[in-house]
Amino acid sequence: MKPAQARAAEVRPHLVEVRNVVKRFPGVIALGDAVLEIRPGEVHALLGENGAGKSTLIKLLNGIYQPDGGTIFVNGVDQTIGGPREAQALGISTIYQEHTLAADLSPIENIFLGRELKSASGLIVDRAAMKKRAETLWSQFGGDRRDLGRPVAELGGLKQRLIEIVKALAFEASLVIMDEPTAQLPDGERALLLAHIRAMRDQGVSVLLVTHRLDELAGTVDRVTVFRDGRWVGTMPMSETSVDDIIHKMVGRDVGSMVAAAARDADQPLDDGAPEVLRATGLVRRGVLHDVSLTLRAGEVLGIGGLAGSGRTEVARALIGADPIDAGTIWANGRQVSPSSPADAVKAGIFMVPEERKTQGIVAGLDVSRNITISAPNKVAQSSFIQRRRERQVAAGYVKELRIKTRSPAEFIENLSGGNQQKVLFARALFSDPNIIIVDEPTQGIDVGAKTEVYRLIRDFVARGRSVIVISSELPELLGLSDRVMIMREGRKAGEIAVPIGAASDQAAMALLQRQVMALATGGKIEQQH
Amino acid sequence: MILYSSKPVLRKGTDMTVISHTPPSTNGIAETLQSFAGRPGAGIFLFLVVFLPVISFFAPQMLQEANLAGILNQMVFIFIPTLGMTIVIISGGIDLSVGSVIGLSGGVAASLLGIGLPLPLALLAGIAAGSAIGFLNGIVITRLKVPDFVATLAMMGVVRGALYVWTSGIPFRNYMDPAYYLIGGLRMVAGKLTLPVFVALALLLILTFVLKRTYIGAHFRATGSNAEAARLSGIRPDRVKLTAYIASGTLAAITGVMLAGRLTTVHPAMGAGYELETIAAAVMGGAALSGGRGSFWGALVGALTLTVIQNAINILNIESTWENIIIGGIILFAVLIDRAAMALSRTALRSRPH
Repeated sequence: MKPAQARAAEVRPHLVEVRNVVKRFPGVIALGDAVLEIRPGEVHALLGENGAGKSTLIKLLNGIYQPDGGTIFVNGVDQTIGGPREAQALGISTIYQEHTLAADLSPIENIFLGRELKSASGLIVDRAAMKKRAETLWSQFGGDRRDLGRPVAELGGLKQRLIEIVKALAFEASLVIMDEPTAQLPDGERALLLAHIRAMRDQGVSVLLVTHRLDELAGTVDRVTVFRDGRWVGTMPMSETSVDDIIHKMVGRDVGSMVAAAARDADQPLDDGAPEVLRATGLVRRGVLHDVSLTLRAGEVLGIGGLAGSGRTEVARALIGADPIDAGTIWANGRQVSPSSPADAVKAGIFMVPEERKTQGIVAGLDVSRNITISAPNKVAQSSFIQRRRERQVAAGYVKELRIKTRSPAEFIENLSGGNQQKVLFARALFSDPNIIIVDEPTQGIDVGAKTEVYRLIRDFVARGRSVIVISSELPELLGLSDRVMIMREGRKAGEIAVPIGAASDQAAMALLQRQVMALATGGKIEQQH
Repeated sequence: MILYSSKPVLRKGTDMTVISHTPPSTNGIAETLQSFAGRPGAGIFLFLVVFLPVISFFAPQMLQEANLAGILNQMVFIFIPTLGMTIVIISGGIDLSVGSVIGLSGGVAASLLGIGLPLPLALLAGIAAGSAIGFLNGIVITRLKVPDFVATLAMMGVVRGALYVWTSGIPFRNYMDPAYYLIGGLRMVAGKLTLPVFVALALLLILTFVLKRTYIGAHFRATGSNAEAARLSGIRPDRVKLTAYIASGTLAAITGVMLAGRLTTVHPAMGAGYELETIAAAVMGGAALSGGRGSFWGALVGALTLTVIQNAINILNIESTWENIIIGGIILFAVLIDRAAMALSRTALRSRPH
């Protein structure tokens, strides 16, 4: 240890310190005034909703992004981190959420990838030395030597995670950042991984744990830092806070007027005697969905909430036959259906507007009118030939009705703004004349004005006695639109919350509902109504 | 304090939660078999082992020494470019320009010999031409970000076209040098085997060594398997791919200059169709077009299988019009077997007690 560094380390006792860091992207401030302090040998949790800025912060610590302002201190020294290799040289190793192992390589090759131990000649890799070192580390995790020679793809989830940890530790990491390390692990393996994380801390390694699973915090995490909308909200010792308090800090945002615009009018209550139009029982898709059931009534909006990856979209895809199901039954409009493709679902009266507008929604290269009629081309065709004039007329009708901003129905869809593209997709859904529309993240990436219009389209649709299923990560939107919200967690239905009429314009009620949804989505306890 | 220590952070003998209790292996043979089945090309190898005796029952002359040597002598011209194709496929790419490079390199060597250049120089120039095409492929793919398939498809057309323009469609002739008969494999060097067989053997051993014993092999596979993981590990996937394409161009060119000796004339169409045969041989040998997986020994088995099938079709006097159908069917069959063997191996491994 050099003397200069020693002095600096005394002044700033933190292993890593992020001070007032700002990161902007065109049109967005991903991080404003971010603060994070990690002490040597602690497990520190970084928490926040989707979009809170956690990923941006991790990328800054790895030098994948450069900050637009503020400072990052490592061991008390102001550092400019140029890239993942420099971060590793500073002792910061990251295990990303998407697995970053090369599946065809063995654990040994993965651990030493790009940093192979070489024999004296410098050309030939020293396989014996790499094997020995990997075996030593691996045995400390209780692993079997024979795991190390086979392709990583053949190992289970926990072992893959542990191999990534060994990869991080093999080069003397003092801070290991783990992004959702327990995602996709069954409960037993999750507990073991957390035990390993605690053991690493006891060895003096710091761990920055990014997780949505708030039930993992107690017993493992020493301190938590909460971010919301790109800003630091607070840092607390775990012993002085509670899951409820953390959830409150994570979601405690204002309930905007937007939500009120989305909500059901008090003078148009849902008819108690409305018939059931959709019922699904015991939907199972192995490894993805576990025994999910739901019902939907005429004129109702059902929300599906949950964290990304919780199975929200998968429920919808199962309903429309986009993914095969292993068990379960679906009734639509009183008939049992077993859609094996979205085309079957359309016939049964269910139409889905997917989340990925660009890749699964619009058909680029076709014009607005063809993008609308593509769901039911026979309605504008005569003996299999599409009648261009009729198609244009139909499209012009929707352009007017939905206020789609386009120069003409013959404009290429890719030239429209996101919000208008979304409206075209809604028109496509309407054109096939379904009585159930499923919308997945209907307002993602579109501006405020367009959002309000999309909300209006949904309201108009259900006002005609039809039904909508809304999937959304934005809680105010989800709660504002829905009559009922079903919350998914890890492929299971975690619970259901009824949204009382008028709740959207009541800030306190909205805040409580949001906390309840978050608690269900993250596995925390549901709060009692006071 | 551990932070500033230069020793590994985890020390021996620490008490960590044990994650698996695998009993010591009791069934060595079963495990060896499983491990073999999981290897790229194992399925097609088994196919070949079964196919040869069966087919030789109908055509006993297949197993005669002269015919077996003939198969080897013929096989290497597919095998050597398949080595290059395997490298490219492992790295996550595809090289459709192989056949054109074979033609061009043969043409360069033949034309330089024709104007009186010494044989070694002519051969080197031919090989250099192939390396240069490989380099160009790599640059277009990694720098201009043109998809591998499109870039090499374009190169295939450009190089072949250039060959026709250059020769005006007239084959190169009268360039043969006595030593070239040897290099082209028209004279036997050991028993009934020819020099190209030994060139191929040397290349197989050298490349296997490079793939297994130097870090380059792991980098090829990492790039093809998960380019992002490779990048985050500090590898430059672009450089790895460039190397792979240069290797493929060079190996195709080595084939081309030898083929020019074997055929004694270089027609501008020489080597056409080799790209598909090499892809077929590589895939039969267990190379995954999704990248990350493949082996040189598998490439050998793949090239051998293709040649054996062609040989059997000749000997059995099957109408040549059927050849493509039979080969196509067997390629499909071979790949299905390989996948089944792989699945079997993985299932067996997963069911191992943990």
